[in-house]
Amino acid sequence: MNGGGILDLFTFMAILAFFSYISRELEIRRLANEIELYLTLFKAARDSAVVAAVRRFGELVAKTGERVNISDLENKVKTLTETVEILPVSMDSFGLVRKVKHVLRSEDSSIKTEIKRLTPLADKGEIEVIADLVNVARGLNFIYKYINHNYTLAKRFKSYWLLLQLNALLPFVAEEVRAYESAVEALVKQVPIGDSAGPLVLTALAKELKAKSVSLGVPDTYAYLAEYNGRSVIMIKAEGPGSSVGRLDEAVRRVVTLWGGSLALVITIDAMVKLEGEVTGEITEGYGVAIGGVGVERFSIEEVLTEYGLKPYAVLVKMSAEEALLPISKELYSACLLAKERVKDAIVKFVQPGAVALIIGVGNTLGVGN
Amino acid sequence: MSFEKLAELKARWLPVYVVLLIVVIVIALHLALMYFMTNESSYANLALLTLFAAYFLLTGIDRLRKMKITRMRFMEVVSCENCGFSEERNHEAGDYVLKTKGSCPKCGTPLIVSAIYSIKEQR
Ligand SMILES: [Zn+2]
Repeated sequence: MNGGGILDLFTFMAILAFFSYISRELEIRRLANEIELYLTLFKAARDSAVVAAVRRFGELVAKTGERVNISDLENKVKTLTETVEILPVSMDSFGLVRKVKHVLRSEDSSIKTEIKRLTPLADKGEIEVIADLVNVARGLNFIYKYINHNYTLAKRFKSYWLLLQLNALLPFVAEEVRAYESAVEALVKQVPIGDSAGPLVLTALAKELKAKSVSLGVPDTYAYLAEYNGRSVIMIKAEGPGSSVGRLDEAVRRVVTLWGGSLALVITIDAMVKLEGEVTGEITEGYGVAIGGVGVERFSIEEVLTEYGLKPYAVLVKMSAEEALLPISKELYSACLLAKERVKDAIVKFVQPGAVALIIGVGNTLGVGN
Repeated sequence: MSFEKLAELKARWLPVYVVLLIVVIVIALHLALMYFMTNESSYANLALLTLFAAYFLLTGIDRLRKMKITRMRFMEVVSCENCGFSEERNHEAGDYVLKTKGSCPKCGTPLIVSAIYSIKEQR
C-alpha cells in the first residue's frame, strides 16, 4: 500500500459489490428454477386428472354404443374444470346458509345432469365418480393457475421476496397436489379414501348388528335400523358405493320427525384433521356435530338437534389432511374397527334401554356399499 | 404419479454422483501426497478445496438415497358371515365394501367384501 491505497480499496469494494450482486442473481435464478419445476409437476398432475376423467367418461359413453369423440369429451371436461362457484354475499348474513346450500346444490346437480346427458346408461355411482374426477381436476387446475399467477407477477417485478415466499409455500402445496393425485387413483379404482372412515365404521356396525335397511325418502342417503342391547339404533350414511356425501341434514330431519320423542343421542362419526406429531388412526370422542365442508349441513343438523334438545356426540378418527384424500391405509382401517367399538360403548353409556340412538357416518362413501 | 416420476428421474443420477465422488477423492489424496512430498502449501490449499467438493457430492448422494419411492397396493378382505372364514386378497376392479363375491370354500355361503385398504410397498 504505497500511494495506490485508495485505488486498491475501491477495487476491493467494487469486487465485493459485484459478488454480492451475482450471488443474489444466482439465488433468484435458483428460486425461479425450483418454482418452475413445481409448476410443471402441478400442470402434469392437472392434465393427468383431466385425462383420467376423459377416459372414464369415454368408457361410459362407449357403453351406450355411440361413437366416442375423445377431443369433444376433452373439451367438455376442460370447460367443466374452468367453471367457478360464486358464493352469496355475506354482508347481510341472515339466511346465508340457505343461499350457500342452494348454490352448491345447483352446481352439483347441473354438473351431474350434464354428465348424465352424455352417458344415459351410466348408473348413479359412475356419474358421481366422473363428477368428482372433474372436481379434483378443477381443484388442481385452480392450484396450478394460482401459483402460476403469483410466479408470473413475482418474475415481472423481479421481486426476490415474492419468489422467496412462493418458494417457501410450495412444499405444502405439493403435499396437497399429491393428495389430489392419489384421490384420482382412488376414484378411478373406486376404493375408499381416508374421508370414507365414517361410512366404513357405519357399515361395519350395521353388518355386526345385522341391521335392516329402512327408507327415509331422502335422495343419496341410506338408512339402517337395528337393535343393540335393548336400544334401537338408526344409522345413516351416504348411498354407496359411488362418490357421494349424501344429504345427511335432510335425513336427520326425517329421522327426528319420525322417531321424535324416543331419540336420545346423535353420534356423528367422521375423519378429523390431526395436528403434526399426533398419531394417525387415534380415536377421540367429543361433543358437537362433526361434519366438514362449507358448514351448510352442520348448521342444519345443529339447528334440528338444538330444537329437539338432542345430545350431539362425536367419534373422530384422526388423520392428516392428505390422508383424508388418499386411499385408506391398513392402519386407518383398523382404527375404524376401534371406532366402531367406541360407538357401541357410547350407545350403552348414554342411551337408556328402550330409547333410540341415531348414528351418522359422515364422509365420502366411495367404495363403501350399502 | 408425477412426483414419483421426478424421484425416479433423480435417482438415475446416483451412479454419476458416485463416480464423481470417487474421482474427487482420488484427486484429493493425490494432492495431499504431493504436499507431504514437496511441502508446498498450495498443494494443501487445493487438497482442502477438493475435499469441500467431495463433501458436497456426499450430501447430494445422501439426499438421493433418502428419497423413498413407494407404491400403493390395494388389498381386500373377503369374509364369510356363516363360519368366520376370511381371506386377504388383491383388490379387483369394481369391488366395494359389502359387495357379495363368490362363495365360501368351506360352507358355500356367499362371501362378502368386508374391507378394502391400501398398503405401501417400497421399491
Ligand atoms: Zn363359510
